[in-house]
Amino acid sequence: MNHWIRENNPSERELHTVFTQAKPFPHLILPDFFDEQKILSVLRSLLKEKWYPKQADLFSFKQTNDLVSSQQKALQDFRSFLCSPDFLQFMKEITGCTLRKIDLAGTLYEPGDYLLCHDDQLDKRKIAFFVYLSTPEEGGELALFSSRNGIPIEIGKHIKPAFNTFAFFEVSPLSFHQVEEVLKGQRIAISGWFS
Amino acid sequence: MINPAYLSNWKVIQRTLKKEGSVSLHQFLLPDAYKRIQHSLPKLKREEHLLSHRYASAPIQLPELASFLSCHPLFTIFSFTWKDYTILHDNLKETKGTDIILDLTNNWPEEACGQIIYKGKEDIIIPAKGNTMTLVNTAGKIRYIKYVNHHGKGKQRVFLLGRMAAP
Repeated sequence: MNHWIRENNPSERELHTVFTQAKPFPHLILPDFFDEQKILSVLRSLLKEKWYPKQADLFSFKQTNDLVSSQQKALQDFRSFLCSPDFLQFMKEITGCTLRKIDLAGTLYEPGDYLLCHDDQLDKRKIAFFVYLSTPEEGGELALFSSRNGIPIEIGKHIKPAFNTFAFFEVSPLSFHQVEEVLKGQRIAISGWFS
Repeated sequence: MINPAYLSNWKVIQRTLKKEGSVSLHQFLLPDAYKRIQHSLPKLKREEHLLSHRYASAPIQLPELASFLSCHPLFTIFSFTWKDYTILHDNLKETKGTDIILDLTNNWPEEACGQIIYKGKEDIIIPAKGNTMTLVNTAGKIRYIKYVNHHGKGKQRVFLLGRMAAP
């Protein structure tokens, strides 16, 4: 665990408080979270993966296959770390959720790409997460919506993507969010869900 | 008002629509009529429901088209600009009939998106092209408007949408 994560983080107990009290719904942002050399190696490997354009009414971006199928050691190691018993326990202490499974893929948003408002509810997803691997010059923020009567009303928080930031939120019927259109630069991330 | 080439070929247009599922009629209106419609649009009302749509619209009557179409469809005028869209959602159901789209957008940048997309066995994508009428057989299809990105900033993608019910 310590090989992957920098040692300057607050305790899990403190992070649990921040997570549960966050508005508009439980979430946490951990800047400079991973060991920088390791996460740079993850980024370099991710950029060698094949990227597929994803276009629909709700989104426009590029994505890799699920990293479970990656042949690259750095990505295999990173995935193994994220679903290791130690890390799942760390996440449980922060979120209160027992997590067993992970789905994750690389995502690349270029100028004009976006993901419109939705709640992420599917299958048994409990926590949605983002490992930001670039800092786009303009746009690409994760917007979290406040809601009323189960309907998203307005943006309650913007999370600006920044290299080596780990962010996650609790998936629920009220976890409405979107990725703002990238206007300048690239938004590269590994994102997925713990279930 | 309507390009005479189309007035005399309505049966051919109908046959093409039946065979191909859609048909686009370029330079549909005579230039004066096209300008008249562009300059006599009603005031539009903006609507935003995050999970389904964001655009401006207003109802509009076009009795001039009734004789050509052999029916009296109700038209709605839509305007899409930066960050506008529609999303497919669970309550959206296909309805049999024909959509009538009259595009009033000149010089729209293709990279701004905002296409009208009919999703079905084979998708039909209708790009912005001024003075074009497109007829689409909607059986087995659901429609959405692709998000307009920042390349459309300051511009408006305007079109009229009407519907002929299936006989």
